[in-house]
Amino acid sequence: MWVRIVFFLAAIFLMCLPVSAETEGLADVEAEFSQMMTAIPDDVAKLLPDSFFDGPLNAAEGLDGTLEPSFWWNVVWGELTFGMRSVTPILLSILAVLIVSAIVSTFKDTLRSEALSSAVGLAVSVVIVSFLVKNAVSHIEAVTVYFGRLYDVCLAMLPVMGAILAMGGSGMAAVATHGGFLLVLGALEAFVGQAFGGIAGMSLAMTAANAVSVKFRLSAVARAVRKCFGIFFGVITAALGFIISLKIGIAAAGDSMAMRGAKIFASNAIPIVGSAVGDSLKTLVTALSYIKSVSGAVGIVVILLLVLPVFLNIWLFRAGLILLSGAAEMLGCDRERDLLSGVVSVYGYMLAVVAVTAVIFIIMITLFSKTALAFGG
Amino acid sequence: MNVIDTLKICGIAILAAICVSVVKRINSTFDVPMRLAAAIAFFGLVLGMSVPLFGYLSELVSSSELAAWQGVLFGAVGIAFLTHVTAEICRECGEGSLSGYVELAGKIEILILCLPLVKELLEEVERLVG
Repeated sequence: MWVRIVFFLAAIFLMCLPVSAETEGLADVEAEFSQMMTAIPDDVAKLLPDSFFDGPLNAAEGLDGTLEPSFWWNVVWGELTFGMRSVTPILLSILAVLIVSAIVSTFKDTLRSEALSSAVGLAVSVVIVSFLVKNAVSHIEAVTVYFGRLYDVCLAMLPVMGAILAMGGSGMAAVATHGGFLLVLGALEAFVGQAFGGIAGMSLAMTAANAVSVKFRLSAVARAVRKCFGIFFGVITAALGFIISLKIGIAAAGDSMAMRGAKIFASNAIPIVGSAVGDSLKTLVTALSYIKSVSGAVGIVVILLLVLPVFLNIWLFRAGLILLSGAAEMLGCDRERDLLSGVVSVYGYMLAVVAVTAVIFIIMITLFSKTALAFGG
Repeated sequence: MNVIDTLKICGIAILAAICVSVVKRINSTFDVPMRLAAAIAFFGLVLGMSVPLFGYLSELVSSSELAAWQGVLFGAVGIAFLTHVTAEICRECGEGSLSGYVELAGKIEILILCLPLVKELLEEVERLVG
């Protein structure tokens, strides 16, 4: 059992390095372990127990602490509180401008000249659009960086899995696994890592143009662009999920009230792919249980701590924008309401990308652990 | 501001209208200056009434993340306000075309005020799409 834990910790180290098809020997486990710990991002490292950084023996003790529900409750609550503190001022600022816009509208209506009236409306819209786009761009960049991190982790795992399978005599399986995953991961990276920023940017630009002037009726085009992205994204993730499920052969966990509740929550909380994520929850729970039993929890803890802050931050901001859209409608700011609704859709796609990526990468860790177990056993 | 102040304003407005129509009958030369004086007086009165409102709005925006943009917001409102009053005075003087030019100038001023924001917006989108 201890040999498997030590091997997996060494293998986690490989995830943080550039791709290599060769496995490390077990001789320098301690040095590799400390190198692995330094490779963990700072924002994740601060959430881990201190004993994680005291060598592989103490890390195993620290691991027990992270498997308690109270640890995750504290992480989620901490991230929510931190997220609310950073998101609330931004949302309140937008509310302040909506109030100003509503007051300015009453003044605007008294202007005899329609040209002046539309110019004042344009100025208010441009201010709100600039502010929203600036924040959306920073979130989109964060999602792209987050995806890039997890993509690098998965890409680093593939050669190791392939090498292990080849060493075990399953050459064809190694080639098929490596080739299949590489193809789909490559498509996902091209679509999400490279194209997502551009598509989100286009959608934002069209929403902004629509808000700035009613003459630019681009909302239908923006919706079509997002729908196309959603379709392609769904196809690629379905293909990757199919390949993974064929390889893993994880039997889904049994049905239960808690699982149904989690599925309903996922379907409602995560736009676009909510029902797909909800359906995969059973497999995800089984995967996590499997990894926990085979000492893969270190990677899962790190991956979950990578996922949670990004997901919660975007989810909170999106929820706030939905409330603001309602506030804009109440204040009679129709243009601003349409703008906020458009931005909410873009955030919905960001949330979908984060959620699906997290599910796929957790399942990839499971596959990696299963492969590592074959070597360690 | 309360009901008494509103009554005073309404009373002064009616008095000014009566004075202008009387002066017009007596000596039409003083008709335009009289109307101008009444318009400017009321402009000053409205400005004085708006100060606490815009002061509060400025406080609201300056304490938020949008403080950097309050110049654009209130600048646009101020330009529109001033342009509207000037155009109305020009119309009162019978110069309809002049009032049109003043309004056009006001609109261009507001667009120029928004230009840096629009540039910033386009740069952000270009960065993302690029």
